[in-house]
Amino acid sequence: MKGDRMGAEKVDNPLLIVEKKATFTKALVKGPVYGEKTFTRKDGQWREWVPKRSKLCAAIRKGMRQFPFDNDSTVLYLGAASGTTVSHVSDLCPEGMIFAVEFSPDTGRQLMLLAKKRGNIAPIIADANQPITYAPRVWPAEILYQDVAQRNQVDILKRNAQMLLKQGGTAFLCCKARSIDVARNPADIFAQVRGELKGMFQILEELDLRPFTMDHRFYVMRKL
Amino acid sequence: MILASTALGILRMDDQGKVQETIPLDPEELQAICRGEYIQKELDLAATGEAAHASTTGKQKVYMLTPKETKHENITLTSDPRKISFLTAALQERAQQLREENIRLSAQAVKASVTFDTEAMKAVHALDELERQLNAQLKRLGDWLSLYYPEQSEKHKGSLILTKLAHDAPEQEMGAGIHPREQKALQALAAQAEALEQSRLDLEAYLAESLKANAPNLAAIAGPTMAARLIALAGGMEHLARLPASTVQMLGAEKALFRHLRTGARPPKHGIIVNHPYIQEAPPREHGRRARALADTISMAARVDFYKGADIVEQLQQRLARRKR
Repeated sequence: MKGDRMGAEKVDNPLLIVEKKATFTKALVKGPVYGEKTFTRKDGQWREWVPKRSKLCAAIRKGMRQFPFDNDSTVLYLGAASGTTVSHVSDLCPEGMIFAVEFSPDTGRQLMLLAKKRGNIAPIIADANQPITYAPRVWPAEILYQDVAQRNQVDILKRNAQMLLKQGGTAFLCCKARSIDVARNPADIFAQVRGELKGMFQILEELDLRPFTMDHRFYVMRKL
Repeated sequence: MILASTALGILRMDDQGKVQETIPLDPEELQAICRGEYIQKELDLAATGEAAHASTTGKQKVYMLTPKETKHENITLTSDPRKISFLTAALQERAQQLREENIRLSAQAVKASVTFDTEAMKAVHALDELERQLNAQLKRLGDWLSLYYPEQSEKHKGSLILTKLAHDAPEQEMGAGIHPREQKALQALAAQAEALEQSRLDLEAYLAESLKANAPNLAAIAGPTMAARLIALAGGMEHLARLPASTVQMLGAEKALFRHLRTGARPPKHGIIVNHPYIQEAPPREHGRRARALADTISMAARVDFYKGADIVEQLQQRLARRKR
């Protein structure tokens, strides 16, 4: 068993280094954001991206094939928290814009500090359940990333996708079985989630994020 | 004419997507738009477009990014990809401006989010930490003191009385003699514990003052410190007010509750409200019943405090008294 580096070299992006044991993004702004390791070589500084702290990185380590993050992508990121993953997405899309939605003002404070330093992060303190409240503050995105662990997380994804994701755009869902129902068997929950996603999306990939995070599924989809 | 209501104002574009005018919005107007309402400016603009386009469409075309629930006769919402790309281009040209606007609006939201309950939550967490430190400190102190005063220090294990022992205690049979040098060191440790205790009292006094002013019914029924703990567990005053009483009853017993749900083990009777005198004074077999009654009453108190603000302490106390067996 190759374990966590199974297929990890599939993603090809000049701002991303995927080595056998570690992942790095090219730092848009110098210096670590949350205490991660960095190294500098002649093309600039690189920041380590730790799969245990970021589900997107875990998905890369688990062999995700789709990687739509381009130099100038527009990303609508739901559940930005204090901006750990957001900072790496910001590294990957230096000419793009990340609309980072976070509900809690407490963690949002840290997100704002990050956004002030990086010209491609627009912080939005709002409830991802109600995209209408921030729709006037964004433009339609090519990528929708949903990491809000809520019971109705699929519904949140769909409502945001309908209003703010371009047709043909990519949607990511970090689905946490424990948030949807603690008592039910995760496999049943994921089966139901797949059913709910069909219709609006074509599911391109479904990844199990073990051993980085337990009881999670990572869905990569295309909006129909 | 294409209209798009954005945080930067209403963008008025021609049919080729060229922005002709940006009509600024004041904060209330933007808020109304974010609630999904139409504002007068939008309706007025929609009305002026009519003449120009009457010949071709009979109705002017208005595009707005936010789909609205109430349809207005002058406004047609569109999901036409071409028009959406116009809007995207217009906003992308103003990306930095939009980003700064987002930072500004988020800063406001973050500022406005600080209310008494957020502060109470911070205080509760500080209180927990202080108690943890105090216990650790007293444990260390008692451990050292037991060299000299084994009986006393065993008797007052974990109690603040230990700090007095550091200053002056009778010599004992088993205890080693204490020298001024050691006594001095012990007194320093004791002073630290006393200072922690003082901070703890100060924090509790702060909580009592704040909660009596901001949630008087809740503070009176649950006691200010427990009230603050409940707010912290619920995640804020509004959350607490909206929780069902049965959840209030379980706050602080999540581990036991989820074990019950997962494995079918016996359900917990109560969370942190177990420490309330109303439950403590009752015999154990009454704990469950009392926990329900207390949780109901706390829930009512929180709701009145949050939504209405009347003083119903007396009714609530009578209610509790009635539900004693």
